[in-house]
Amino acid sequence: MQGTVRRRAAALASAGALLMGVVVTAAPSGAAPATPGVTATQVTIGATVPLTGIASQGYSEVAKAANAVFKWVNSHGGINGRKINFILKDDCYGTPGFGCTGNPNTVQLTKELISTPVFATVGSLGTPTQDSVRSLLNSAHVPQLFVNSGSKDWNNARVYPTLYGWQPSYTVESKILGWYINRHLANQRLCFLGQNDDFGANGLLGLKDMRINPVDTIMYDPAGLVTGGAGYFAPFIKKFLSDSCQIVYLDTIPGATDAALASALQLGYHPQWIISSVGSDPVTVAAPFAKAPFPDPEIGALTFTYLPTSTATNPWNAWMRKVLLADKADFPTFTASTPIDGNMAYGEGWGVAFAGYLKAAGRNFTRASFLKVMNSTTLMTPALQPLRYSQTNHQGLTAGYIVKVASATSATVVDPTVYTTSPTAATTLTKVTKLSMTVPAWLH
Amino acid sequence: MRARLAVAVAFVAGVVATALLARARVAIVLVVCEALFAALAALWVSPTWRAAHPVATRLAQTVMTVDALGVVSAFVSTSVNGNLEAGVSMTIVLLGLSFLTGSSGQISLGHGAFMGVGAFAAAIWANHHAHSPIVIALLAAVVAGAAVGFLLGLPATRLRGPYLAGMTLAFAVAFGSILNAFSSWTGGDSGLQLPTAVSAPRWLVDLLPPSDSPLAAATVWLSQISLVVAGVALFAMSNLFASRVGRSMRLVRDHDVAAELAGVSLPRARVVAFVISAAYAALGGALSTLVNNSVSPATYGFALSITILALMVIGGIGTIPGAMIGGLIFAYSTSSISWITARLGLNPQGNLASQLNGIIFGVLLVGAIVAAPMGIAGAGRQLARRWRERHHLRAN
Repeated sequence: MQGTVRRRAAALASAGALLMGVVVTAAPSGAAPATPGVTATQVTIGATVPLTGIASQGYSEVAKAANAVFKWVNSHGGINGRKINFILKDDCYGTPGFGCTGNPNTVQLTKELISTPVFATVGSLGTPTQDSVRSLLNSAHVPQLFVNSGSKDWNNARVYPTLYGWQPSYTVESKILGWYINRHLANQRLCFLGQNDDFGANGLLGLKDMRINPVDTIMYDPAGLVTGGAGYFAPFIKKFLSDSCQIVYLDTIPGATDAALASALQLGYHPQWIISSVGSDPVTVAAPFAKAPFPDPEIGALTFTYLPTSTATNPWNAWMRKVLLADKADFPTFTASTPIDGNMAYGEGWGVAFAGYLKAAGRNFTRASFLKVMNSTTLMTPALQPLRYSQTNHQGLTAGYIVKVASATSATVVDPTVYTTSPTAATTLTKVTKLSMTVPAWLH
Repeated sequence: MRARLAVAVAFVAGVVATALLARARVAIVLVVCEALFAALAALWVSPTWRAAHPVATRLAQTVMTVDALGVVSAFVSTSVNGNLEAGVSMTIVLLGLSFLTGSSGQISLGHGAFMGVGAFAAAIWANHHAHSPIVIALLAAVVAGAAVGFLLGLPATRLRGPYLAGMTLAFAVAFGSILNAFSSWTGGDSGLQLPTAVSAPRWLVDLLPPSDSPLAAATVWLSQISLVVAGVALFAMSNLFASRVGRSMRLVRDHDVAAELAGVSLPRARVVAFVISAAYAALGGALSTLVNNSVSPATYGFALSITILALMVIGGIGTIPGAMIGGLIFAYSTSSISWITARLGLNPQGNLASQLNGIIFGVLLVGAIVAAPMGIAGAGRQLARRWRERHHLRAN
């Protein structure tokens, strides 16, 4: 008994000593640098992205492709004498469960990035995940740049002055596709299948703006897809078939696109598919059908893109390939003949955007002056339309063209005209004549 | 007597060392915390005192734990504090589930959803009452959790075993759709943000090193809040386990006929257990909303309920240390799995690495069921008992 008591006392004493040790070492450190995350030789930025989990297939490449751009500029002397250090944190799309390493917490990972510190978060992915940190980043005055989502939530400069979107909104995209439908596929029966959140709702809004009223409108729950697989979609597709829809419009993520295509295949139903850019990337969608004895069922589908297709004559395609070939660490199996998929082009797109604005900001900059430069500089990036923000408009890209899936690895341009439209109820489209068709000299 | 002397010496040494520090205010706070700790510890080491004052012993135990962790949280990084907060919220949830299963013998597969009820209730309350204190939002969540627990507990009076589990399972699966159906309140897929982020009070900011960012100070403050809330929950639960209610619950669990003969109302006991358990889960959820300053429906999917159940079994059913161990595992599972992945050089998207979470939890679960049915806490207790017995024998 005596021994136990003595041990306990000793443990208490050592705990006390330990505490003291901690106190002494916790002396205040030196003064904080002028701009957080920026030193004389380096700019540190970060992002939370799904490297694992349900959304990682395809999407995990996005930030790595952007990092390939950063590695490229770093190996060519950096930008204004500084190298870009990109920290990626895996938040699993904020969706716990099997296939995800651990219990994802976007907020905590973002707090870790803020306390690193990072100059900004760049290219973090996901609508709900990034919604959950926008007030946190805003109150910490950390810019939240190029959020990888087509939600309208990123364009709210009055409330979130340091928040910037990048890709065209879901509504703009479906309006442009809707315009094409009215022009080339008018008077056909159209059925709509969309994701039961901002994605599906905003997409449907765009179609309705273009006076398109689907015969059937079905919203699916991504969780149902996780548990039910393609079988979850079968009744929806069956209904489209029995209502004899000639066109099926999909606002789906790639896995859901696969489920819809597979269900239709089983029923022998071959409508004209029109698929949102979010879930139409030929390489990603074709992957599950790779070993099937029939051709990729996505061939012939119409979709929209704001990035050059890999088969288009566009100087950015050669440049993007060069950058990916140089990054042997993250793209070890990428060869001169590997197709550049949509996710890679997407990541390289905003990677170039960040590097470009960093260059424009000059050698001496603060967060405020950097954002001011962003609001007033038009940038040439791999996206079709030159990238432009303003003090009040933080949307980013608003234009693209209609393409058709031609094979399991490529899509061809249906109409090379790049169109833009406003996210409002206006039904008119505007042609974009000045395109981003030159790779700036400093990137060579 | 000698033990008390040793504690007093440690205390004096601590005071002297602290007083030497340049920052006087830090020293004062530390001295107060240490004095409290030492005073309680001095009482705690006496077995006779512990036997004579069970409630005060539990209080002392709780205050000591909260005190020690509270001091430590001021000196650790934002990321460790984040893990601490996540672990503390989960501990509260596990306490609730542990009570339901360990005391009344009922199984819930829906505690992730109960947690979500609290998380959303706190967020909705905060969004409609921007200036109400934190405590009120937490209480609102507890009330909401208890109400939902009551509604789901009613059928529990008639259902048993797999049927009850099936009902809670249905609730967990339906929870996402329920949130979506009330999207004007719950924010739909985007979830909700709190109108104002919790920021550290002036006195705490003054205590921390001036180089600390407002975010770091806020994180320390959130840890303190979480610890105090958990302390209250822990103290209440430890008393409940030992109380008349706790005893009657255990009787229901072990032999319901005997319980009825002894005058325990079975339906009432079952509903009460459900209400308390759901209220605890809701409190844990509300706390994580507060910590994250936002709530997202994806967090409270079905997988979370299963994780909670696994954590309870691994930690130890029906014990307070078991809940704490479960919370610790939850807090560090993410970083330890990525550490293992990096250490083994696995491709994080490969088949093995992306299933590692499920594999590790599965192995732990099976291992616990086979080797330690009372979880890590139970195994630890057994080892300690065996060691003590052997030690005792040798002394004789």
